[in-house]
Amino acid sequence: MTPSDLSVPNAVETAALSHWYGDQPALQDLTLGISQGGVHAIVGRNGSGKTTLLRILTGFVQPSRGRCQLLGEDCRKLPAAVRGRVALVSDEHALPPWLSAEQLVGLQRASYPTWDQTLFDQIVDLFSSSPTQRVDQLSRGERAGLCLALALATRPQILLLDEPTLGLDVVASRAILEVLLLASEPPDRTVILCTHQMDEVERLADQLIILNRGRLVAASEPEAFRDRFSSWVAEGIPASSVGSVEGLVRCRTIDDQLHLVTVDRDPNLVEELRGLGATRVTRSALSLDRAIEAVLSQPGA
Amino acid sequence: MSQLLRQEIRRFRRFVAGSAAVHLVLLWSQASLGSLYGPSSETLNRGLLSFWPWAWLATGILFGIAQWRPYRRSELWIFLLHRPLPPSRILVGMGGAAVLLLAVAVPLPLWLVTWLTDLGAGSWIDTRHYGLVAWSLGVTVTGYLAGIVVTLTPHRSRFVILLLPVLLLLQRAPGWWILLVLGIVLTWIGALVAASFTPDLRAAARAPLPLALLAVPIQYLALFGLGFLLLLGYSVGVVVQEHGFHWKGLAVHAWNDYFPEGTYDRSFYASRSEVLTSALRTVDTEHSSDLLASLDRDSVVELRPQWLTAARRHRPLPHDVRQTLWEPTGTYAYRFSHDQLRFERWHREQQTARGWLGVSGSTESSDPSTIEPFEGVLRVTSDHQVVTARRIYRYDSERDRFEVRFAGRPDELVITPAVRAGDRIAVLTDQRLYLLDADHRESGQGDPDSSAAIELPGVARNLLRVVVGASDRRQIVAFTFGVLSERDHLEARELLLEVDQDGRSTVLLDRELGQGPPAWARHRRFIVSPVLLTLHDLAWSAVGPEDQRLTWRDLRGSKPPSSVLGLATLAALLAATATAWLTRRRQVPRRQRGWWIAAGFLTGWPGFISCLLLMPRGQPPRGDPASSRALDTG
Amino acid sequence: MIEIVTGDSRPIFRQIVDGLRRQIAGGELPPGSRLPSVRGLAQQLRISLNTVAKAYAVLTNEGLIESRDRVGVFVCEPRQILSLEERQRRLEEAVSQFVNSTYSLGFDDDELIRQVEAGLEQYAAGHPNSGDPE
Repeated sequence: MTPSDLSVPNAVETAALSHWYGDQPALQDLTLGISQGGVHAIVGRNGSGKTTLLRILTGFVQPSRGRCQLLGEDCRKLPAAVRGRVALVSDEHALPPWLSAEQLVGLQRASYPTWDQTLFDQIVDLFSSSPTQRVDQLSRGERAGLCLALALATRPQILLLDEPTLGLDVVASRAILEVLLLASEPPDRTVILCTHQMDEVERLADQLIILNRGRLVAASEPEAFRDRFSSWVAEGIPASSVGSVEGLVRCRTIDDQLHLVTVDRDPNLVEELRGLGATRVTRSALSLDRAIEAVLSQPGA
Repeated sequence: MSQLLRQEIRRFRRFVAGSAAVHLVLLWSQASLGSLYGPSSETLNRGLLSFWPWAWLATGILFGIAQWRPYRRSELWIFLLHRPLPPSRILVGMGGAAVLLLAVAVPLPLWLVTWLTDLGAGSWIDTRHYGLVAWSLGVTVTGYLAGIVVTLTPHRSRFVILLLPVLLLLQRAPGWWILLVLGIVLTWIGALVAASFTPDLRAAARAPLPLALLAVPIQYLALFGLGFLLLLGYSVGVVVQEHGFHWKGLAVHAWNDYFPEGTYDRSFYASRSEVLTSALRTVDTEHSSDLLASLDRDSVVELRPQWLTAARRHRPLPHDVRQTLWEPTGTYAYRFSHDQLRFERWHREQQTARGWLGVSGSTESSDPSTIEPFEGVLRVTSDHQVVTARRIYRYDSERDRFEVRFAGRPDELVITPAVRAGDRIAVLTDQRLYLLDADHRESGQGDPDSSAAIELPGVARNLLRVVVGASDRRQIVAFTFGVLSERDHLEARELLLEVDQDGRSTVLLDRELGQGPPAWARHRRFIVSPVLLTLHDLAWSAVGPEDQRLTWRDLRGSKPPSSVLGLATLAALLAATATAWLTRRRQVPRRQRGWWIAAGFLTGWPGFISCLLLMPRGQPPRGDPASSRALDTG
Repeated sequence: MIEIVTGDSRPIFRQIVDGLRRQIAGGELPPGSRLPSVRGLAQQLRISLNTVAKAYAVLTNEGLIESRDRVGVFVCEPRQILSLEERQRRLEEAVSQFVNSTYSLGFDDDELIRQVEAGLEQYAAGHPNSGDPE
């Protein structure tokens, strides 16, 4: 998490970052470094602080405490030049409803010297909406496509995406996925993707960041994260007797079998469980989404 | 930025074109009825002209809300602000578009109507009418900025900002000083908009400058609100006290006829003949009884000083409309031109100008230079007197010229029109009361040939009313001094004089007037906040309505009784303590706490109320400070 | 044609490696045949370039495929580039995994060995060039 090369600032750097809405915590003591380049997926339950984090990074919410930097600049007062290198796509895909795509392009193009019209057209074509239609006449999918196209055509160095496929149908989600693949191609671009779609995480993410109730749970490569987890099925012991097992994340009883999920446990758990009285123990690997689910559903997490 | 401006113009083009058209049609129909600036019934004219500034203000407020309301949605706010431009330039782009659009909707139709009237009718359209065009833009932009604050500021009490444009329309700054007031109000709201126009509106609203700019209007309202509550409490108490065990009901004190004889409040509310009769009864001599018996109660007249109600030259506000003189036959109306200081003759049916009318006579030509102008701006009274600051004229329609009915000395200021009192005519200046013969005519400048000139027995500024009655071929005059104010800073006095046929006056009665309500009720606003009340008095002494003005000297001379000072100090200390408790409870940052407590002490309970309304209830719990410092170790 | 599924216990890049390895072993991709480009496969499977690149890198390390500059990615002639120790380590790992997952199935050892032999025969039939490298 420390920057490998001091001359290149991390894309995102936060230290002890906390934020409250009234007395409700949204982020708590978040210390996080995201290096430049690659797709970083931020995963968490609803209300885990993902949207707040993106708003803090772009300066639209001033954190209650702590430090945060975007490309080495304090997020509380981002210079206009840095703003121009960061694109933000919100989950609502909201755009001024009285403007048409053409007018939006006119507006954005005047603001961004890096504007790429070909790229814009290419993306918008995927969603086949007419450039003269007003935003309030577009379908949700078309609006999402327009939002993404407007963001990508500025050729941002950092692309912040807040649940880009939320509430979209299958076709639109596929198209968005393709745009996201396109977006993640330039090697110097950092994509930070907040999502609930495990499919997107598996297909896109180079790095996985898991937040729960505003706290950082894990930050690593998805494979490394998954490899820490194992699933066990044991027979012949009650759930009450495994409470002290080290690394236990989750424990459920299904048809007299005890299904356990552990983190960072070596295979000798077999012996431990046998010692507790289990008659049969089998171990298997866990898929990424089940590993994430297990972490996020932990009561104390 | 220019794209932003263009988009906003496109967004509102229909709305603006529509409102400009409506505005133009209304103004034009009003102008063709002859009532826009021009002669018409005084009430109609005054009503319509005082309607327009409020309409402009409302247009601005509504436009501000319409333009910014969509951006209350955080996603659209991000869309607007998240671009490689500093927020100030985005604000300039959006605001610039709004000012252009509002200029089309409000001042343009007004200018067009004024210009066409000027072109088609005559030159009585003055500089001030064009000044009104600029003023209308100022009022609209003020409303627009207030609309932005109302839309974007996250405080629940943001609506108090509307107080500022309202005060702007209520103030009566003389002449072009009005622009200074406009400038101050624009700067105030503009600074609030500029200071809070950053990506995080909530955080910006917690910054000291926006807080201060919002706190002062809240405190100002609280000053009057708390004062009113105290007055209410007092009034109710009096009614109970007065009627002993008989509960009469709620009423405002003075209407209960409670104030005892010899108090200022009694004299203030007394009818004019009551003033004379009660004073004569107080004198209680044989002579006074005679005078009382032969007093002609129906012919008692009253003169109240009308300070500065005469128009200011070139003042861009349409407050001064009593400047049209009607010819007895009704064929012509004479409209006063501030530029020419003469009346323009206006044919009512043909709607055309027919020459000029000045002091010395009239001319048919459109060039007024041949006739003598008035020496200043004048006012036409309902009984066709023409009053300037120095003289009173009467229009002689047969000879088509003005005759001077009264001319004061060069250093004298006429403060009332002439009033007929029995067989005399009474005129009040800031130095004397003149009682003239009924057939009195001025031969010209200089010492008026008056039957009686009574030096004012006190300071003219402090004069409440003068009552003149006739009794047995003599005049009885009562002067009441003192200004009805909760500060009771000027001495309240009543004098009764008898003026005989030769103009000699003798003082019958000279008494101090006591105060009706107790000191705490009179000084209720002082107790609420001495600082705010003084600031209010200072500001209002410069730009307030003429009859409510105090001077700096009045303020300095004001010395509330020590009990009131003690109460005010106690209230301030209590307010400061309450503010300290509140800021602690709401976990206000330490440095801001100091400021709030200081405000609580200096401005009293209004300061506490502003803190209560502006500081948010929910604050983040205090974490251990170590965790926020554990940065670079991780 | 490679199929990938998300929500599997194997990461996507592992699925690609396994899939390609099976196709090469099964003869569907004979030596010299051309594989899709990194970008092409990424587009086809709707996954990121990095994932495909990672899978190709694993296969290249194993000597199954090679990338020729500007021309494309091709299946290699089979050869063994892993060291003896590495091969032994992998064999042990596979055996241990096999034993782990079959132990509890209740077959006796002979049955297990018979099944393994059948599997190896089937594999050799579809893959004439394979045999004992020693």
